[in-house]
Amino acid sequence: MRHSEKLQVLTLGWEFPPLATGGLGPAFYGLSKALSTFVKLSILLPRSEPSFKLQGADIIGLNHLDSSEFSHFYPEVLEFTEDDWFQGPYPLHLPGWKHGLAISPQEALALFNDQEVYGPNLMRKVQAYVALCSKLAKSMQFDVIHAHDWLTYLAGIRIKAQSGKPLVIHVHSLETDRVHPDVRNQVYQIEWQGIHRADKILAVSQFTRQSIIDHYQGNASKIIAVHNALDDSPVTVRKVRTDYKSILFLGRVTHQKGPDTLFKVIQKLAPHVPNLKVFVAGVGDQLGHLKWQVEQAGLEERFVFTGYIKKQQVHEILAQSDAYFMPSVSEPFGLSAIEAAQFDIPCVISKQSGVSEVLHNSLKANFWDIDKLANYLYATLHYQGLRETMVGLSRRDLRQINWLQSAKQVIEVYKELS
Amino acid sequence: MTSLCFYFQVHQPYRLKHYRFDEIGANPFYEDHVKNEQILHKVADKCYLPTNAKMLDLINRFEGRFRISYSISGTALEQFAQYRPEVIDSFKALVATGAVEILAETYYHSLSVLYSPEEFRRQVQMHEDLILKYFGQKPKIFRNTELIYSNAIGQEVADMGYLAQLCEGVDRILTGRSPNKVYKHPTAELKLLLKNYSLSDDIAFRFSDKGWAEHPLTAHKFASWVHRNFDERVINLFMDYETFGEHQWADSGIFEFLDHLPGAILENPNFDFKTPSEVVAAYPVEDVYAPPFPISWADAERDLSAWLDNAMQLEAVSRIYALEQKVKEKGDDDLLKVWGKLQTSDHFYYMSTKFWSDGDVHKYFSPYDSPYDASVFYMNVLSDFEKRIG
Repeated sequence: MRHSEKLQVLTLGWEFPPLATGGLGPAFYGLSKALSTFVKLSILLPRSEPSFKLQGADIIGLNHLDSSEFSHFYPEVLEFTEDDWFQGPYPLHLPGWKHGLAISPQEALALFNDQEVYGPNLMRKVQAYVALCSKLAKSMQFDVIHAHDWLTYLAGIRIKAQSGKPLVIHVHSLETDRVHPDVRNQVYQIEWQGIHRADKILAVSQFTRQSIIDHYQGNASKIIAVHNALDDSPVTVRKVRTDYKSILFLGRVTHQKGPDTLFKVIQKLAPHVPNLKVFVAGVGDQLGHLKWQVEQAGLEERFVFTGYIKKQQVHEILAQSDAYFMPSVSEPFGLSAIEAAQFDIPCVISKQSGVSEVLHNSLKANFWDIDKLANYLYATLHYQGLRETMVGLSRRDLRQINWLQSAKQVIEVYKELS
Repeated sequence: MTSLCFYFQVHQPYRLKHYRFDEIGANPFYEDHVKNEQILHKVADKCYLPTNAKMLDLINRFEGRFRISYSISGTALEQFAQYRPEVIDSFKALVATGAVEILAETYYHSLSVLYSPEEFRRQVQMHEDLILKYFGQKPKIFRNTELIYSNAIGQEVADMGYLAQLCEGVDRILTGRSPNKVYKHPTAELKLLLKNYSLSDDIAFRFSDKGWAEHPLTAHKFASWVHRNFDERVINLFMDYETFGEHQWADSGIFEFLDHLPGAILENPNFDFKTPSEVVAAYPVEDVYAPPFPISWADAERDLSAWLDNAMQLEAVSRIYALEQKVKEKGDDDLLKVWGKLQTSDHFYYMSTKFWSDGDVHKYFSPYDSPYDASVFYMNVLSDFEKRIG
């Protein structure tokens, strides 16, 4: 590292404001913003909005690359072969990758003109991202590569191979969380490659760090937990009084988020809390099943399904919630619980979550412990002293949770590697 | 002559079970009998029985020159009677030597003095009756739960006819004065014996601390510190009895220390052992000790914050005492007993968040995983009890 100059980091991301579909975008932005005061960031993204800038960072959206100019600089067909990628216990089996990747600049660039950065052709987009980013990286100056989540790991691996610079991967979530611990699909294979080829692995929680060790045979000495945080923009809490006791479940209604636990707990609670209302804010493949369970149990009166809601509506619903419930089966972090805590809402969360490591004054139980979770929710809804103590001490916890703290940990890693 | 005055606190609470919200209105049984019995057996075997045997041996060996005092809570005595009656027998044997004084306290080891003078008096009377029944002694000296004391409490205790009360020697009240003499209440006829916390804590807290510069503490080393106070009247060593064998494990050498201590102290002919009654009879009052607000022997603060600090504790305490009139009007002895046991200060201590750090292993004194669990189970129980009272 050159002492007088700032460290230069090539940052590979996927979601960036104003685009955000889950926790990845805000976390990526929050950390990058905090890092940008200490290091020089070059951020490569599938898409960017020119109006959205970050001081101290160069943001390059692949959607803004000029096709002809790009072809001029890189006239050859973009392709690469990395034979050893197809070795190991989890070799890559990607369509069209068997004998290396071949994609023309025109096709690659066209993929990112699409508003949707996910979509059915996601794997093709990942390949295009590898091709374009690795070409761009050849003319860029950087000391370390930082790749966020599986979508960018292959690009990170490729750039590491061609530049010889160290690779840091940032694990925001894992396929084993999203699907099942035993999953061994393409995404798992990509994650496995990233985990075994990175020089350092940043996990968003101890919980995720342990999952990397348990489900990916990650090298424990290479993995450190860097907790997520939430923008410290002040939240003005205007509590709305209601004549019912409300519990909020916020997030995708998928197996990972524990809708089955939610149902069982509410079923237990409902007979004892006559004015109970449960708000389920989110959509997902388990929503239909949850609605069916609720109907079968005759609990329609107790549930309000809002569907997907925007940030402003999230704030409105938070302002009138009495308890926040996150019964996730496997939650790498769980930023929404931090947001709830910022609204002075007592949180009942599963121990299978990263956020339980930083929200010390929430009530925590295993996601399968229906009795205990129901007991905790009952208590937070009924005992004012308990609520006040939890909320008061959570404010103290929240002061410890900030991106600056996390950025400092990341910078230590950069320095160690460069 | 300088006297050493030992007082040991013997107390066991009734711990509550993990009482669920769906039991409210359906289950009138609150206590975790299994855990209470387990803990009682453990402490009886590790502390009460071996320590009582050692004390009896020492009193006999020194022909009554080794003298000590105890305060034993009603909830501890009840559980001894239920699970290990031989513990009561061993205390009776100690009292029979004539070298042991039993002190008065609240039956339920409660904070009642802060909330209801009437309930306070009822519990002290209950305790006195029990002590008389078991030990044939009518206590003359009072010690309140966790040495909680203030001018107002002293006035109340004096009005009840006690000669003296035990207190913590708190620096901010002493303002440089020595704790090693007999004090009194500013106006009431009540003498005060103040704990010498430095020498008491050397035994109770620091004894097995390998990081302590004085570790290991031998009886002779400790005696040499005591002997430096030759120009003082009385050195009050007040501590939990569970110090012996429970807080300080047997393998720390605490019993060997105890075995050698009386001999080491009495080597100097200007030192002896006295019980609290003997101290107040032997030495004149020299000064006034007047805490305007309640003090205690707990934590560095020496105040009420271990029990009455966060909102969970305040809600629980205020709701249990709010039931007083209704419970008493019911005239149901069983309900009155349950209400009494729910007043035991340990319940509120378990809810303390003062030193709460998540995942910390300093849970030795709490049967629950967190202050929140302590609160949740207590409040569920209290909710059921409130329903029963109506």
